[in-house]
Amino acid sequence: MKPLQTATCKLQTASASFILHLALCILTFALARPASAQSYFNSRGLGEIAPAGDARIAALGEPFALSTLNPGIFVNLNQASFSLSGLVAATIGTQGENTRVLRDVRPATFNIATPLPFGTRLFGGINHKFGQDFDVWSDSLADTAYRRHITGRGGIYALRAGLAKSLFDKVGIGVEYNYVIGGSREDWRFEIPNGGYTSTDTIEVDYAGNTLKVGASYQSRLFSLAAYYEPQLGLRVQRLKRVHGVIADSTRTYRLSLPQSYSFAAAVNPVSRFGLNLGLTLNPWSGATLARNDSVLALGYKNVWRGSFGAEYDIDSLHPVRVGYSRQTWYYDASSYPDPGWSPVLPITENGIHLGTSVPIPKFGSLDISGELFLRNSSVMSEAAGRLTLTLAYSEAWMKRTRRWGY
Amino acid sequence: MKVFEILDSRLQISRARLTLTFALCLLTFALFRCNTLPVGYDQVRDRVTGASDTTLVSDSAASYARYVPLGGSSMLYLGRDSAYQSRLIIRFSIPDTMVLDSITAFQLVLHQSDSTKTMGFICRPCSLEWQENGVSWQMSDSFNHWLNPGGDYLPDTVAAGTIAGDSTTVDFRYVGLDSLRRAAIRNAGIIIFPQDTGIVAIHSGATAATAPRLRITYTNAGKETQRVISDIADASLIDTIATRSNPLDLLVGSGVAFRTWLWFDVGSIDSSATIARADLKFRPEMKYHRADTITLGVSRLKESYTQKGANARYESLPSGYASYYVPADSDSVVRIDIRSLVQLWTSRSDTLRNFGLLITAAPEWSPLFRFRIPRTGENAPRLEIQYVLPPEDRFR
Repeated sequence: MKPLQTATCKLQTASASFILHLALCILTFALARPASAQSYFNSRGLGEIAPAGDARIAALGEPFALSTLNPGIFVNLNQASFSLSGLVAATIGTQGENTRVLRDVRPATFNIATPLPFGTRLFGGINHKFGQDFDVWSDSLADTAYRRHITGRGGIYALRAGLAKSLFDKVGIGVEYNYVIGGSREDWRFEIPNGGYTSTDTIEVDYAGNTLKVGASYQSRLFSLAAYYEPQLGLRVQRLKRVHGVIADSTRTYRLSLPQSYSFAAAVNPVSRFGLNLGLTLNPWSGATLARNDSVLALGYKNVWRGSFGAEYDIDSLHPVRVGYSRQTWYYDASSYPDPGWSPVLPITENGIHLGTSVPIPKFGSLDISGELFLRNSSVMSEAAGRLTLTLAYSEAWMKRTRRWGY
Repeated sequence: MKVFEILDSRLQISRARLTLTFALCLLTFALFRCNTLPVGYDQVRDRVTGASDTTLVSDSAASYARYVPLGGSSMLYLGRDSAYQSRLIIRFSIPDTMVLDSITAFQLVLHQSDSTKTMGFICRPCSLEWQENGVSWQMSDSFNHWLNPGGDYLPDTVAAGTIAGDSTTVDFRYVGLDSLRRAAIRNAGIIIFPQDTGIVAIHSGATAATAPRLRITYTNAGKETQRVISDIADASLIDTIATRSNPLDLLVGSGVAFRTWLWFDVGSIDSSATIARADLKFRPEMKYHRADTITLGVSRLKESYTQKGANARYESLPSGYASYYVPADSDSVVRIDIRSLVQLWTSRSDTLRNFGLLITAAPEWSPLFRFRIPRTGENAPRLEIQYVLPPEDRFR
């Protein structure tokens, strides 16, 4: 036993050292010049679909249906619990011979749940649904030193509250109300010589909407099944455009309709210290529309899916190691504007590798850590995004965690 | 000892790790520091509606000269040469109750800005009252002309001397004058005439320490006492023969104000465009200058020049300024940023009509200069504009 403990200890030390170094490097990215960006593709559509924000789930490839995004996941909940996540992200974009790095440090999510009598649970939280941060520069214009610099900041968030019911200690069903709110601000600047700039236009977009989500899960010692359904999301979109030089504002209101989503997951634990999971999320969003006055336009989004595979191995009762893989196609296309035969249909495909672990915090819970690497490709641009997610999870008074999903 | 060795060894490993981490961070910083390469711009390019460069030449141009009031300036000019002559008009607050019998000395003190120059001068009483904010070579105030251009004066010389060094003090003949002339000096002040060729700059009353003043020495209870009376109004009266130059010349100058009016047709620029850059450029032909740096201003006309000519009103605060160095070391093109002005013309054309612009000296009492702007050719005025149109919406 002693060699095994020593090996475990060494592995932990090496792992902690690696994570520390990785975190330091990523923080250095962020501090070098904190230009916030989740993806260079975020200027299109509603932006990137934000991660669930739970480091434990992220490390397993993010099977959404097994995360707290599923209102039916709360089968086992002994006492009030919460989790708070933050993430550090860096994105390296490559287009032609150019490469550019952007960094981002931000809070990701907050979730809380508490058991009520008769096996019911009350839960809520704040989740990031779509990210719209981006930061791009143009080429020099018209043989001069002038360039456009466009930055976008913002996103769409869900304020969540729901009720769940645990049945027979194995089945959970739940319903969740989401108040969807968000906003973004795009600054269009026109750079002038000597480092000065002219801020030409600002476009601010506010989003608001409501939706319900229902979910269910079956969790047993050997295997688990989970699914949730999110019906059509209607967003009221108000756009304010300020043309600075002209000192003119204009406002427009749209009605954006985003079709339903489905998410499924399955997990199996063939032995007590090892588990596997599969996740599938379907976003059949080709029917997304934008309505203004009497006209309704198709947004041109696509029916897409996201699949994931993950595995978890407990080195000992306190130290799990998680790995995962995910693949998805984004719901909107990249633009291929500069191509001579311009065609807008250029899907963005994403492959992700996920790693993670947990560090126990005595008498509190755990610090879940995940590191993810995504490779995104379209025919015009590719990007590699790294994401380090830290989740501080307060759960049971310190004891071995018997549950696998939820809290 | 072994314990110390182990500790020392561990400490060294720890240091090495720290150094490695630090180096890694520095390397990361160096390799991945933010650049501004155009990665991802294609994703918004279909929302960019356009950025354009355009260069306009003036559709109309004219020039006029005007004797402008030069009171209230920080510097007064005294002298004459082949192109200009300048007199000084100064008024002091001399009390009419002054007991003249006790006065032992009555002196005029002037301070020069360039102590290397000299200039002979004489002073005569001014015979007509004038207003500092309206006095010029031709006008005693905003409404009344001098009987004789250059100021009306009595023939008596009340002081004479030579300006040299930092300050000059000359005897001022006030006590010996009759009451009529003393009253003229009290009410209308004096005019100082140059006697030599060249132009010197005298500090005006804007700065108390160097203001023109009268220094009076008198005996009070057997004791010699001095009293200083600073000026209360002063101005340069400047004339030039250049007003009789070719009327088709586009001139800009100070002292006697030469102003050039230009009109550019910016109607082709969309009203929703943001003007990113608007530079008025031309290469002047210098005709006269007494300083190596001259400052120009561009003002927006509020009325039609074609209808009102030189009487067309314009914004008193220039929309753009530029300093021009004579002679220029590298680039002798005058470049004036008038972005805000062009933005007004294009985006508020319904309320603020484009009546053109005036190029003037800024201020017009600055050291004397005059240049000509070519009407045609590569050195003629041109307006280089770069503008951008608003982007398309994210959802459309």
